[in-house]
Amino acid sequence: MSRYIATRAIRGATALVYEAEQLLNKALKELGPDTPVQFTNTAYYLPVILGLTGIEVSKLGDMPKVLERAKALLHPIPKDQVWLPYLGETLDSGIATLFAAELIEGIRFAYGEQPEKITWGGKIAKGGSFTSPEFEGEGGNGGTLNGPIDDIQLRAWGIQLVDGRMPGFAAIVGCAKSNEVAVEIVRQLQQRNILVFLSGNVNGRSIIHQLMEEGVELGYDTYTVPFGTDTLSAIYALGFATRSALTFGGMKGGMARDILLYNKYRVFAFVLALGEVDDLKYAAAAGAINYGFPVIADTVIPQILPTGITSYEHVISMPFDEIPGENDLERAKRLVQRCIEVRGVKIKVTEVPIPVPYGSAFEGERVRREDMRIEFGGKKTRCFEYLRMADFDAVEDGKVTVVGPGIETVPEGGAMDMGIVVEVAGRKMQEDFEPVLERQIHYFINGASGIQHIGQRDIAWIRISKAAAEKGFNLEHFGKILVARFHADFGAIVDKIQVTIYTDPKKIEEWLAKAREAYNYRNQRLADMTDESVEEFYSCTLCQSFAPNHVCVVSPERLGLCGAYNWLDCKASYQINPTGPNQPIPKGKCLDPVKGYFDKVNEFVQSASHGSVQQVSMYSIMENPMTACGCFEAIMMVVPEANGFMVVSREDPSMTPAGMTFSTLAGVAGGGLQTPGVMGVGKYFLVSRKFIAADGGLKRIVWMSSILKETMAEELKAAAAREGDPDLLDKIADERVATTVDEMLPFLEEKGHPALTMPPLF
Amino acid sequence: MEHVEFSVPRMWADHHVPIVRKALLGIPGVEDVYASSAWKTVRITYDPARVNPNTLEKALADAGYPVGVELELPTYPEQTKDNAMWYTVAGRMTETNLADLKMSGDHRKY
Amino acid sequence: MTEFKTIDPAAVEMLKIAAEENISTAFSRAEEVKPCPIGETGACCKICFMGPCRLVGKTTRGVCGADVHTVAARNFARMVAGGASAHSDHGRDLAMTLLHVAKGEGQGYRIRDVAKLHAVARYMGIPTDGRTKEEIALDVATEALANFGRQTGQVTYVTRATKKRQEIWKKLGIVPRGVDREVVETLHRTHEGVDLDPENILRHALRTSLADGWGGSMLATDIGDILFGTPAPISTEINLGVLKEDEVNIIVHGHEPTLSEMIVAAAQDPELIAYANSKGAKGINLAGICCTGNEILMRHGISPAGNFLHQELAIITGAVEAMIVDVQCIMQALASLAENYHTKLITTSPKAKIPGATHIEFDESRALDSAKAIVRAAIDNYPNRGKTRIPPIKNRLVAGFSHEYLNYMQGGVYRGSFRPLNDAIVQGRIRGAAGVVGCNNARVPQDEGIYNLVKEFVANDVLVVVTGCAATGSAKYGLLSPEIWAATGKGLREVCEAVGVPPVLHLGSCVDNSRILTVLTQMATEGGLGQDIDDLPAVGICPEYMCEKAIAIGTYFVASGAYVLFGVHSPVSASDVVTRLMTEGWESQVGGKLEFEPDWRKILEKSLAHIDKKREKLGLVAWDPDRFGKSGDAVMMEYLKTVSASK
Repeated sequence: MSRYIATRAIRGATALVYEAEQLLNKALKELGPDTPVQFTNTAYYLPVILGLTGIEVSKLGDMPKVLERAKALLHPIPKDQVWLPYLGETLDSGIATLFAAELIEGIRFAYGEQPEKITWGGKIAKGGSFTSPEFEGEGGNGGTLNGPIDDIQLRAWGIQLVDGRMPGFAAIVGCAKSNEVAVEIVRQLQQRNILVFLSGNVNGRSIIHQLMEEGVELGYDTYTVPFGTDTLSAIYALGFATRSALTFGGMKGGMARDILLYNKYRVFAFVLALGEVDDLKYAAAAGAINYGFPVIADTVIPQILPTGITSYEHVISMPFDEIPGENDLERAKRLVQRCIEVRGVKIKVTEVPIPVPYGSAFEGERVRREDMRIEFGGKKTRCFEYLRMADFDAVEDGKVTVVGPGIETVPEGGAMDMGIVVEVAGRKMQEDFEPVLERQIHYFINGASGIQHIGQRDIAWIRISKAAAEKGFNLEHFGKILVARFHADFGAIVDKIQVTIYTDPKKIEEWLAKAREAYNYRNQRLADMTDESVEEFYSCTLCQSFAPNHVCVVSPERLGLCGAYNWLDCKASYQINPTGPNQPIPKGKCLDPVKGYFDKVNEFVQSASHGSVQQVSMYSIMENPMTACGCFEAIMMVVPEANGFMVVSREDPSMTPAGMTFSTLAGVAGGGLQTPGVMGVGKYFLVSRKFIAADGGLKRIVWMSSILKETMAEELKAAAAREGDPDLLDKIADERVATTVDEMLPFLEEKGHPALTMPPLF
Repeated sequence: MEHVEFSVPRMWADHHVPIVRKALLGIPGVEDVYASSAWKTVRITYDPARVNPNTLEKALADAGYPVGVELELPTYPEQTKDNAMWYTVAGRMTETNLADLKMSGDHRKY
Repeated sequence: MTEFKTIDPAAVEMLKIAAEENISTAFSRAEEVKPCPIGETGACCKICFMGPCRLVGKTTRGVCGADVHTVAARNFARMVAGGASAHSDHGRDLAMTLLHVAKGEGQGYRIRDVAKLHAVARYMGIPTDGRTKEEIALDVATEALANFGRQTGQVTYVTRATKKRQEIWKKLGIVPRGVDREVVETLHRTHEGVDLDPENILRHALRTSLADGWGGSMLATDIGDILFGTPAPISTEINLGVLKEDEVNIIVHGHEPTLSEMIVAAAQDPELIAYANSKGAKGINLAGICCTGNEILMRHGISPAGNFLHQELAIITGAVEAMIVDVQCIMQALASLAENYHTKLITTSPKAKIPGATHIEFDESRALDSAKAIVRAAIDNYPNRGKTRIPPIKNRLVAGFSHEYLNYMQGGVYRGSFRPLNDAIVQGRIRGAAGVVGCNNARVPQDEGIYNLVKEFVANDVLVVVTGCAATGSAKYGLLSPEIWAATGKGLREVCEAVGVPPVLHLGSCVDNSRILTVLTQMATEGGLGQDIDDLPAVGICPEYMCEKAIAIGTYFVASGAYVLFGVHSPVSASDVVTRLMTEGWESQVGGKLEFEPDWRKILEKSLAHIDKKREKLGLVAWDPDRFGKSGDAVMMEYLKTVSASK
């Protein structure tokens, strides 16, 4: 700290705790102590308070004891002369501030004042909208801000957070110099795949207003989440950080030091204070520094450069107008650059030579029909993508060819056929990697701002927005994206790459036939690839940075629980990085073919889990099931009354027959612990031949989130048929018919669900 | 148009700002308001023909932000006192916390 | 000023008065009594009655044939034993007090710091769950006392050292067993005709010193904290100017906090204050001298009147109603000096009486009553006060840095650690650390070495920790106030400003040197600065050492791996062999070494060279005085000025 910051932060903390007390007393009187307090879709109560104190606040009456904790952390303000040390005291006061802020937000929830409704006298550009589940309106004069991030979204981001694709988050507080600067800062962060959390205001004006006026799409899908227009709502950023540790780090409420250190070392976040800094902002910054998050301000404030609580500098002041640069945009860019240096985030930014911004944050962007310049695929036209291995000499590296007419030949809002053919060559390239690489096309193309990509193979569907087309985006740029990204991400196996874009109808016919032939061949090969047909499985310890004792064993018939890594992905990943998180595990001796025990697998798991897991069965949930980190797509749990299992998807917020929602269940299933009867899985494991084969397979499923039934209808039907019960899917209950065991059992009886007559599980 | 600047110590954080702005901007004759929680001041541009500083001051007081009135805050004891957090909350660490070292060991690999 | 051997203007004023009034002080006696030239070098052997033998000139062996090396080593070992005894007896007394408190017997005492009690219990393997603090305290006191009389095994706190350090001690066979055993064994070995190998004698001196540092002293610190509270920062004033013209001035002098704590309580007693008022005084003003002063400074912010050489000067002010003393560093001269003034010299310990002084024995079972009786005696003396001449000289300071607080201040309740300090050293903001400790010595100008070294260290980005009379010595010149930032090196200043501390940290009394051991150990285990204390870019310095306790402290720091430099003169200079054993010999055995260097400038030079050498060995960046200095409030203050100017 500096004495100036300490003085203002301790004063702010004292004032906020006082304010929280006044507000709480008022709320207790007006609403009563039994009034529930609940953030949106979370199993973690008020997460910062839960994490740091272990206190589960579920009603107003739980709050006074938290308030006492906050008061106990406050200190006198440093004197002007012969002052006493203040660093520890200021950091404590920062924590008190966080408690008070979260209490206040909790009380606001109790009053129904959160998430905040935003209104602003000024113009708000059309298209500004929120894509969060709480989304209530769009455009016009405002809408509802996001408020806290829910558990579902946290877990959905899980895999990206743990594998480093999403390095962390920026908590932006305040208001930028101009709308232009606000947009540039956010764009810069998005290009680096950094989550952007927005809160605070200066003179009543927030960066949220600025972005809305500029029509920047806000919401989960664009990594840009508006929390609220005051600094109090910045507490949601720290709630997110705390829950990352609880969700992925296997930590429990009350493990304050571990949670804070986890964030210091694993969550690359920082606070960016735009505009003048008030007492509360100083106090909240002191709270954030406890998490190891540095603070960067674009105004004059005292700097704190020595390190220790944070990994690099604690507080940086970069008065915006003094940042060197030709113009404000350049200054904004430098500001973001500095933020990233201070947090020590190592980000590899792939320069993609296209006329629109590029980054994962744009993956979720949608292109609405009215904003669309042109589309390929969908209902009216055909679009496919095909990647194949070619001879080394047959590939001219970096060459992008467009065969056929360009988009300018199609009227605005129109459609045309397109085929993207990618040919790669490399010494370590294998035919098996073709589908692995081909699947990346979806992510790569989606990363361009204003481009939307859905589907794969011959059901690809691509849209280019008017804005992108105006900036000069054309067909060749698809090729340029792919060349740049394949080199950057798969350089270890791809030495040369060339891309041909076909719009010429004749050529499309010709290549589509070739592609389909390849698709069929691959399908067959994949079907032939069984656990028995290979010599080795692969480990995935990608999540160990977050869940230190968890290890996934990925086999051809059991993909990773995050759904992102199948056996071939792991194999490719091992080629790319031989010392990385995906290592081959020779199966060794099969100890039990039914439950799926292999001696070498057990050995590997013992060592990779640091002894916390002794053995693992590949095909059973009831005996030594595989552990989970926290980023599973679905959770299975035994329902003893029905002699079967339920599967709940992470997209499903409803109650389940287990008496817990997904979020609560996740606490049981995650953290690298073996709990017989509970398991996190990737959703495509459901249709595998080996799916809990030892326990009876798919026929044991008595309840399944409807979203799974719908999104995987075809695959599930096929699997049911394979299991000898083609109508199985209709016999499985979901949240629409039952959210308790008592509701579910009659349904199963009526439908004659096979699990009821299967051998008892216990 | 005239300007007046008031010191408003109770407007110490940005969630107070919209309240202050609303209270002032609703008064006929107030053209512009710059409410700064950082400096705890509010600068008002107004039409002297329609409104005078006394009215503005009163509006601030009515909104709970009286001009020049400090926020009375409770005080907390210095660390050497029995009721200070040094004795009530803080532990007595005299050795390196091994969890720190473990945690910082091989974090996130790039 | 050159007339007197002191750099303290307050001392000069008093010495002028003493000279005018023809009053003898340690300063004048040091001029009159020259040191014994043979004893000074360690060449005098008076262990048996065939001697004493003086091994000088052509005499190379004593009557028994002992050579100068054996003699010097034996003398040195006995000094270590003497010092270790003093600290450890102090620790034992505190353990006894804790035992009384646990049994509900010690009147006025309580277990103030339960958290510390639990921390100590954890070290001792004493269960705490579901037990009352008295139950735990009883076990802690019993275990602490067992450390003194233990015959086999090891002193409990040995396990607080780094693993590597414990291995070194084990390999060398110097793991201390029990405090008393090591001291007795030193006395035995150095008896006539026992251990005659200088190397072997000195090795046992290391072991004895460890029983002090990691035994008696560390227990004294910990139990003091349990009973009276673990220090946290507090600010006050120092030097003779803290005495008050219109209040009853009571000076507590000596070492053990058991007495002074009760005097502090008694001095705040409303009844006694009213009594003082009835005698015409505005109140009761307590001040400390020596380590008693440090104990009540660290925990209560009671102003110290000065360090060791101020004990006589305080009385010369004519403003002291009573000087209450217990043990250690109390000059016999006080008794005759006090006769010249109204000052009552009150001895309180059955272990320490002075002819001519009033003895009011301090009874722990009715401690508060005893203390009140003593304070009452002082008040009764107020009307007898004659002319006073309190020099209006004082300075401000911040004290109260326990190692627990150091840990806390670098991260608060949730993130406290030594990471920020280690980071700062690794990056070169802080060049290294120096402990400046020890006494005053009338043979050298008072505070000159202490003041200059501390000032120079701070200016050179070396963080300084101080204890004992070196702490009060530095404080008198404002070095312990955060306002000294202006004279602090740029990098160190950044760190100080981040934490809010002065660059010189007061860790407490001389038994609290054990806090420095804990700090160094925590720095070593925190990571980034090697594995053990001997890897750290740190030095220990005792510029004006005076007593055997200082020798014991220096030795246990060496045994713990530190490079230690003493000022004044070498008590073993007669033997080149012993000198070499204590430098090269010990360095190869335990990683630390002990050197004597009278010139503070050379001490500074050697210290900085050592720090830079260790930095290099650790592979740290070379220290650069101009690399840092961009953080802090300065820019903000400048900005605020322009903002208010523009308004």
